[in-house]
Amino acid sequence: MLDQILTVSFFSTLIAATVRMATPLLLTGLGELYSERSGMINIGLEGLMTMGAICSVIVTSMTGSAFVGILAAMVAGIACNMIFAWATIKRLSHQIIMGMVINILAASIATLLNRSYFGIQQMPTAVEGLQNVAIPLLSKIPIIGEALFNQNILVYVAYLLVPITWYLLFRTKPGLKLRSVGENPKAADSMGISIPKYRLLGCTICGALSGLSGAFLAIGYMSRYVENIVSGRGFIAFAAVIFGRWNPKGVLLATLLFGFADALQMRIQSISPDVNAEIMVIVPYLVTLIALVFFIRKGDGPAANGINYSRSK
Amino acid sequence: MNTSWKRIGGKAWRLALSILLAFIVGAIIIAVQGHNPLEAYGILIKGAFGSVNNIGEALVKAVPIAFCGLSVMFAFKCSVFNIGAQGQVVWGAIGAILVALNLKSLPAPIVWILAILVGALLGGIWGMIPGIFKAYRGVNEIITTILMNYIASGLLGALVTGPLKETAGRNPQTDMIEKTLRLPILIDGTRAHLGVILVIITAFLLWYYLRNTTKGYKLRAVGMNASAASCYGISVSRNIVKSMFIAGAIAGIAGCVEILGVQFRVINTFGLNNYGFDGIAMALLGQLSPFGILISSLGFGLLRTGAGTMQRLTNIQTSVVDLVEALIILFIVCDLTFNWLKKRKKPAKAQGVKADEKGGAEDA
Repeated sequence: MLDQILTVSFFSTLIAATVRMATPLLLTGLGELYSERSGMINIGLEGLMTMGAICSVIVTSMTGSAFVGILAAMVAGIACNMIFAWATIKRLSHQIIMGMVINILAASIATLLNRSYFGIQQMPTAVEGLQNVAIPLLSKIPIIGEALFNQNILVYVAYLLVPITWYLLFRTKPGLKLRSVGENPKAADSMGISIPKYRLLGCTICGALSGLSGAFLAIGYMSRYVENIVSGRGFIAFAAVIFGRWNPKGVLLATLLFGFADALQMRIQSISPDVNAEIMVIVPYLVTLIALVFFIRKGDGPAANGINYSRSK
Repeated sequence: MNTSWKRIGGKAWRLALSILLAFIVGAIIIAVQGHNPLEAYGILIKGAFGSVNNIGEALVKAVPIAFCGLSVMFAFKCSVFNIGAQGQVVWGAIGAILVALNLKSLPAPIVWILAILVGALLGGIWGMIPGIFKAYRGVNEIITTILMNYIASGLLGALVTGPLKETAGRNPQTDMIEKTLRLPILIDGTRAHLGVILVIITAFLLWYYLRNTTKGYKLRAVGMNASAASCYGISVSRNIVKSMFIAGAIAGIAGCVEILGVQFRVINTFGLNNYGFDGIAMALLGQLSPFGILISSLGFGLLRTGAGTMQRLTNIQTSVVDLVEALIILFIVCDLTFNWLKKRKKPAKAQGVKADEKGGAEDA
C-alpha cells in the first residue's frame, strides 16, 4: 500500500481533491464569517446550501445554462436566509433555534422540489455541469499545476474571495461598521450605524455564498442533485469559522485541513478497498472535533455574536 | 389563576392558528400539483385515525421522537443545546443489541432492564463528552454534538460491517434478536409496544425532577442565569455535564426501545435516523414542557401515518406533509400568528405590515 501512496500521481490527485473538497466549505465558511462578524450566528447553513443545490440543478436543467443555475442558487440562498433574518432581526427569535428551523424547512422544500420536478427515481437525472477551466501556463506546472489551476470557475471564485473578504472586512468603512455591529451593537447604534441594515447585509452575503456553495456541490461537483447532498458540510463550515478564529485566512486554513482529511480518506479507500470504508468516513469529522477541542482558545468570537439587538433592552 | 388560564388559552389559540396556516399552505401546494386538497386531507385524516392499526403505527412513530424531544428539552433547561440526540440514539441501539444478543438465556424482563440500562449508559456517555468539552474547554456544544452524530453513525457502520455483522447472510446488519426478547405489544394487532408506557413514565419523571427537586432546581438555575447560580454556590460545569449525561441517556433509551420493540436488529443505515432532529422539533413544538412534547410527538406520529396512506392512495408525496410540519414549527417559533393577531386588533404600523407580507410570501 505504501508504494501506491508514494507516487507523484497520488499526491497530485490528493492535492486536487483537497482543493475541491475544501471549496464548498470555504464558500459557506466565508458567508458565515460575514454573518457572525455582524453578530448573526447562523446554524442554518446546511439548509441554505441544500436550497442552493436544488435550485441550481433545476434551473440549469430548465435553461441549459449552468451560469443561470448559479445565479438561481444565490437567489435561493438569499431568499431562504431572509426568513432567518426576518425572524431574528425583526421578531427577535433565538438565532440558534431559528437556524435549526431553517435546516428543517429547507430540507423539506428541497425534497418537495426535487420530487415534483424530477419525480421519484432510482438514478438522479444528470445535468450539464460546470466545465473545468485550465489557466494557461500555470496549469502546466508539474504535480500542482493540474491540481490547482485546472478546476471549475467556482473553485477560483472561492479562493479569490479570501483576500477580497479580508479587504472588505478589515480595510473598508462598511466592513468596519459591520464588525462594530457584531462587537458592540449599542455603541454602533449610538454612532448612528443601523444595526438591522448591517445584520441584513451579513445575512444576504451569507445566503448568497451558501447558495453558491450548494451550486458547487450540485452542478460543479456531482452534476446532479441527490438527497442529502450537503451531508454535514454546512456544519463543518460552521466549525471552520470557529476554528479559523473569525478571520478569512483562518477560515481558509481550517477548510483546507478538513478538505485534506476528506480527500485523504477517499484516496485511501480507493487504493485499498480492504480498509473498512465506514471507519474512514469519520476522519474529517474526527479531525474537526479534535481541532476544536484542543486548539481553540475561549472567547475569541465577536462579542455580540448570536445576541439579538433591540433598543428597548 | 384566572390570568394563567387566559394565557394558556391564548397559547392554544395561537398554536391552533399556526397549524391551520401551515395546512393551508400545504393545501395550496397540493392544489398546484393538480389534486383536490380537501380529498387529500380527508384521506390523511382517515389514514391517521381510520383503524386501531393506524393509531398503533402513529404511536410507534411517536415514541423515538418523543424520547429525543425530552432529551433536547432536558439539556435546554440547563441552557445546553443537545443537537446530538441522533448519535446518542445510535449508542442506545448498540447497547441494546449487545445485551439482547449476548444474554439470550436470561429471562426477558431482565434482558430488557439490562438492555435499557446499558443503552442509556452508552448514550449518556456519548452525550456527556460534548458536555465536558463545553464545561471545561469552552467548546460550543452545538458543533461538537453535530460532529459526534456523524462519528457515531460511522462507528455504527463499522460495527455492523465488522464485529457485529450477522452470522448468516452478507448484509451489513446485526443478527435478529430472539422473538421472546422483543418488547410486549400493548394493543393486539398493532406494533405499539411497551415503549409507549416508558416514554410517558420518563416524561413524568423528568417533569417531577425539574419541578419538584432541589437538583432539578439547580439545573434550571444554571440554565436561567449561570453567573447568578454560581454566586449561590451551584457548580455550573457540573450541572452542564450532568444535563448532557441525562439527555444522552434519554436519547439512548429511544434507541433501545426502537431496537427491542420495532426493528429487532441494527442495520447499517440506522445512524442516518432523523430522530435527533425530529426531537429538536418536538421540544420546540412542545414549548419545552414534557407533556407538550408527548402531545406534539403523537400529533406528528399521526400526521406521518396519515401521510403514508395519502401517498399510497393519491400519489401525493409525503414530502408535502414534511413541508407542512416544517411550517408548523416555523410559525410557532416565530410566533407568527400572534403577531398577525396583534396587527388585526391594533391599526398596523406600515413597517410591520410590510415585514409580515414579506414573511408570508417567502413561506409559501
